[in-house]
Amino acid sequence: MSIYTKINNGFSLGTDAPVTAGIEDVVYIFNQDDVTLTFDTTNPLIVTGLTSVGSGKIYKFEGTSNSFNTTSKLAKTSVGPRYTEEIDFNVAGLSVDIKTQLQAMGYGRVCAIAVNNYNSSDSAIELFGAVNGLMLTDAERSAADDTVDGGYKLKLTNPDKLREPYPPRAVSIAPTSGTATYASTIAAIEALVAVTS
Amino acid sequence: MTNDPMTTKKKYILKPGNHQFAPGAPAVHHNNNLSDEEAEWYLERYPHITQLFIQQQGKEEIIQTQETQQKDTSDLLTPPSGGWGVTSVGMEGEV
Repeated sequence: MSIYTKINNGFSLGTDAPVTAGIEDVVYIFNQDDVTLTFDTTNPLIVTGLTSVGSGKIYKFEGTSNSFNTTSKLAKTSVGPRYTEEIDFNVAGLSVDIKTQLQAMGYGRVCAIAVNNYNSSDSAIELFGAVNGLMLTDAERSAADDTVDGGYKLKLTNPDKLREPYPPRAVSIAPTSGTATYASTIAAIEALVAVTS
Repeated sequence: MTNDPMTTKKKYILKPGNHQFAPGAPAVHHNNNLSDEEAEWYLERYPHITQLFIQQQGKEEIIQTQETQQKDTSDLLTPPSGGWGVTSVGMEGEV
């Protein structure tokens, strides 16, 4: 329990890998019921495994022009810190299939994985909605909006009255043998994207 | 972890980490708190968790494959010694 209540390390500003802004133009989204998570034994902020349930898989939403964003913000409560999470992304298209996915995200709970542009870190790849899931709270399409040229502007956030008890989890999945790296984590996620349902 | 004599006696060995067995459940399952009987019970009801266990037979195969690869590499670097060849041929047959 002490890891939650006492700091045990400081921070030194380094010049080897300066922090950079933004996330890559991809967000991985999966139904919360489709994937089980494995956490590091000593640190619940690290997800070390993703396991599909049945034919559950991860879906990949791609964008462009550095137009995706993630936000996590601490909310102080009477029972400790909680975190609100937001993922802003867009879909540059218009079809029944897209509307179907958006409709589902508005009802069901999903989790999302974002890949930070700053990848010289053990928290380069982050999972949002690990406990309570996320729901689509904004899905706006203005046909004449030239910023997204008639595509959808979307936002995934925590469901009403439910915030996350932890900051976004770092996803760090090791290969069959060896230690987890950025590449091995991406490979593990992509393997679940490639699952044929 | 797998060299731990306490764990090697078990039939079902969970991979390292705290696992969820059902989506959204607390990640409370780890190798030290899961008996073989419990493992069988959960495996029957949540078949997808087979991926969370170390496959005993698979583990042997991995070790054998690694030894075979070592043998292959050594073949390239040094003349074959009889001992390696006899051992690895048998292993390759099993794999």
